[in-house]
Amino acid sequence: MSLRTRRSALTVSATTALLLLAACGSPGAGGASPSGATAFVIGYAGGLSGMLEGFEKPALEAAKMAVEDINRDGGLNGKRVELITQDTKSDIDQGGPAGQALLAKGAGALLVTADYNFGGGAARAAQAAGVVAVSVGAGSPKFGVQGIGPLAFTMGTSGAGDGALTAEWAYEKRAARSAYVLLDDTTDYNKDQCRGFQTRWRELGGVLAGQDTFKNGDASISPQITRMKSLPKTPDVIAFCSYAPGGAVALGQLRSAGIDSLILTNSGMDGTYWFEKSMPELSGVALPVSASVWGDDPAEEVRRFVERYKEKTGSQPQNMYPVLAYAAVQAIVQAAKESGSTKGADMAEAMNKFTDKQLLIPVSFTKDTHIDVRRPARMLVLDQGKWKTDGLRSLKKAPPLFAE
Amino acid sequence: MQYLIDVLSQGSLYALCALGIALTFGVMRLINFAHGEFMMVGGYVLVVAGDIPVWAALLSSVIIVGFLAVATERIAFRPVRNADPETMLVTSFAVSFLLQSLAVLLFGSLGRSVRVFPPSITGVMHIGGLNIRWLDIITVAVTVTLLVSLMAFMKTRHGVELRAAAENFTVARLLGVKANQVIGTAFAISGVFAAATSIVLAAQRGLVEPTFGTTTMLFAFIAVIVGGMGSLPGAVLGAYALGLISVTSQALLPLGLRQFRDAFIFLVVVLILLLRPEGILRGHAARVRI
Amino acid sequence: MTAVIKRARPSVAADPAHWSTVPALALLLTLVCGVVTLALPQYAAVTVLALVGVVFVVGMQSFAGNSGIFSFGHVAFMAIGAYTTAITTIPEATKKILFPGMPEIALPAPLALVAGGLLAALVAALVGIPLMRLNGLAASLGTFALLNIVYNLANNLDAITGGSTGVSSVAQGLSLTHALAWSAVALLIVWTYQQSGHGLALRAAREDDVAAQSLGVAIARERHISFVVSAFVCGLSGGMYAQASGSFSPSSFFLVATFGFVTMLVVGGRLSLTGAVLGVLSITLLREGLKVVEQATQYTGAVEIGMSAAMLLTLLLRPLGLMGTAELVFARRGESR
Repeated sequence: MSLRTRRSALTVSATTALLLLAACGSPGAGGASPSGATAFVIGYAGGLSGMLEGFEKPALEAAKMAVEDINRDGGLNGKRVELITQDTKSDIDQGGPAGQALLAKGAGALLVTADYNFGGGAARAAQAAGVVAVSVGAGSPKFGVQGIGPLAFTMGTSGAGDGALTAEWAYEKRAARSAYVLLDDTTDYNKDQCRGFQTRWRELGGVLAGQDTFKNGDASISPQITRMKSLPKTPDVIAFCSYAPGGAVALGQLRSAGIDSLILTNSGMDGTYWFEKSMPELSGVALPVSASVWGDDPAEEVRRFVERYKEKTGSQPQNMYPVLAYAAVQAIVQAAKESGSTKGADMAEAMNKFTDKQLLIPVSFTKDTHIDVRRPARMLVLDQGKWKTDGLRSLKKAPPLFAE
Repeated sequence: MQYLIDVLSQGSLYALCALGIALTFGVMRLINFAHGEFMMVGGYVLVVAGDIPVWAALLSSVIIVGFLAVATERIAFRPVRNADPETMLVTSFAVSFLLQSLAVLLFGSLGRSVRVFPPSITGVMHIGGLNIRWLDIITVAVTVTLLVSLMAFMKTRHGVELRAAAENFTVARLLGVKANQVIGTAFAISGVFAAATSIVLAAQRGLVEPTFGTTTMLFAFIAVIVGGMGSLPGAVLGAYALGLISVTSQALLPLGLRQFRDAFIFLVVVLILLLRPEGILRGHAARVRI
Repeated sequence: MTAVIKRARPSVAADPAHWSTVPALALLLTLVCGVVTLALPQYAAVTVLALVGVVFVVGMQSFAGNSGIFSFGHVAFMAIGAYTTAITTIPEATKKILFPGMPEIALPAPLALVAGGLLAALVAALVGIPLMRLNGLAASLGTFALLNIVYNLANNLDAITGGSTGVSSVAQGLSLTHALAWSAVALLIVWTYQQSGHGLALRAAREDDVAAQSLGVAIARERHISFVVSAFVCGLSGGMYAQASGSFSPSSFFLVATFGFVTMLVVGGRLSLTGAVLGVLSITLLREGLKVVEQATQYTGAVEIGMSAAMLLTLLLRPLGLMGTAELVFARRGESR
């Protein structure tokens, strides 16, 4: 046995020993598990670090606020509500194990990431364990009965609905008649948004001046701009189906190329962080959201919540996810109260009956549709670098949720 | 004609990035995935610099990224210098992962908006029916300036040593070229190119986030390999070729197929590789030894 | 009889894996599974995913280790395996609602895995014709192009693949025992290939292509064979992934996965079958251990910084990875000393 061989042998025995040691030594699940008899436990499985933390940490803060408020008002039928967390590291593969870890600690309901793929793993673990899972804001209609199971719900709204809503708003309130469709085909939500827009735009009698695609990772969309510039007339609106960061990049390039059309987009472009330095005077961007965090939401409760959130965290929320997360906790507790049970199936049945349920924002579900298709949207319009709410709007005619 | 300007602009961006990668690849066969993160650091320097004068922000970006590149070489790459390319590659993954994680910890994952140049030079000029962005001119100008400086540098003593080392590292060392010095120089210059790329990219994107450099870096790699492994002129040629391919496929593909643009781009890349397996300009790294 | 490490001769690795390498590694994996089942049931899901990783990295090793060409494209084969398994095992009724565009083929779960492997092998056989003529980095770039093309198609052929949302409702039927059994199968396939004349010829070409060529080794052909074998194993792992997680999307099989697996292989030791297995195990163990630390100390970033530091340190101390070219084998006391 040569020296090198011995070193290799050492490495293997050391690794194996370490493996066994770690296996035996690591604590059951980390931390004391709250007893189910005195508390109702909600588990939050989300990307508290990594690429999603910018969305998830604020949502978690809001969920904590909801739990505090509920406990102050007497908890859930005399039980305290507790919130425990598990970081998925913004890794799709960690979703399932994170959900299982929370369930092992006694979670009676889960809050999961605002995305079908990232939140799906934990939601499926909950479904398998007979526990309700609510996504903070996944925009896929598959997040629910169809894609996960009868115990999965999302607080988000669908891409098709959001796109259709912007079509109606632009046609009716802004008297827009010609539209250009610019699709970032990286995600299905974007495709749904553009599809919903186009369906409604045609029904309304608007003109489609052209369409093009790009990808979220593109450093430059100059070829797309060149194509758009070759149109005889600049379109009134651009249905812009993308999200930051790539969407912010593309939108900036449209503006600096001198294209001033009204841009219709989605909540993935909410926030001021992506333009405040680069385009401080940006105007003419509109998007539908479930709640405005910019101080002028039509609902007083939302305005008050945003103020409290700012006080507590010392920061301005950049999107509606804190509001949705707060409402998600309310929805879970409300369902348990109404059904008088903390069993997943009973809670889900209660949630299926939510019709304009007045939580922090109104929430509606049905037996088959676990994404809200009734909630009135606020149109946020960017004016001189400030988001302003242009009233409440409900969809007059909904496009199909799923693509044909 | 308008598309030609798009090609020039996009190609120049890739070329800036590709030159930085090709430099370190040439001297030590290192496929440096952390180059994208060097660019990201440069971007965040511009974010943090905020309202200080443009020239000061640019200068600090160049200095900090140059220093970072040299420090990374000293700490991470020097110990594995004689290892296989695979080992060095994964070392660079580790560096890249570390820098990205630090960026998330320090600045969050949402990204920060940034304005590099004053608004007066972010607009468009109309010349004879063409729309030329000031930014396109800046991009091309920066690339040409740095390329010319690099060529001038290659004529100096250090430059000659660098070229000799890139050609044949062992022989160069036998002839008295100091390995640490020449590799250090290569990394410093590579850092300067990363900073320059980050400036152009930040101006073009207006947003800096932890994955700021990734896509551009990947395309620049392809340019380096397609152009001719380790050859600097090859890297530039590869970069413009890639700019041409991506702009034309975006411009020419019919709408129904446009979502498959990336598949087409990579198909063309494979075709070029099959026709010129050693790159458009055959690089020394590809030369067969007997 | 004890498990010991056997190091191949440093130059041409004539017999890199002893007959007992596969049983020894299978035993190691069984031990890990035993410990998890008995003491750490909450890590069962993580362990199943680790075993999927073992199958994949072992498959990738059979190409990268023997040919010396680094592949950035094998995750594409994993994707092919995963989609095949999904398409052939999702029940008709679910398919009608969720994925109306999917072909109507139904297979039992184990056969679906094999079908995924075969389809991946078929794709490898086709794309290998041009790609395997390339050398070194050009070949690596070729495989990277394959990765991008498959990703782009999976993301945009919405009717068949479910687009960026991907596929869900695959029956989650991969138990720890199943995963263990498939890992053993994968090890056996790769080991058998390594021992064959083809494996030997390819390793000879890796060490000295000119000499091997002059001895009549058709390098491109041998590489091609290795590519197809490894694609089969990686396709298997994709099917396993689909059955383990129940859902996946195109981004499950793109850059993050590619870099993750490449890191596991290089840290473990890309020239050794044991290295492939150990790379997956040690990185999974490290990550899970650091997660416990992070949860306990509330120090965010401990996992990321700890992982990068450990990887750097490993490569610094052992540039050929933990195992180098050594393999884990059984040997009678004294045999290998």
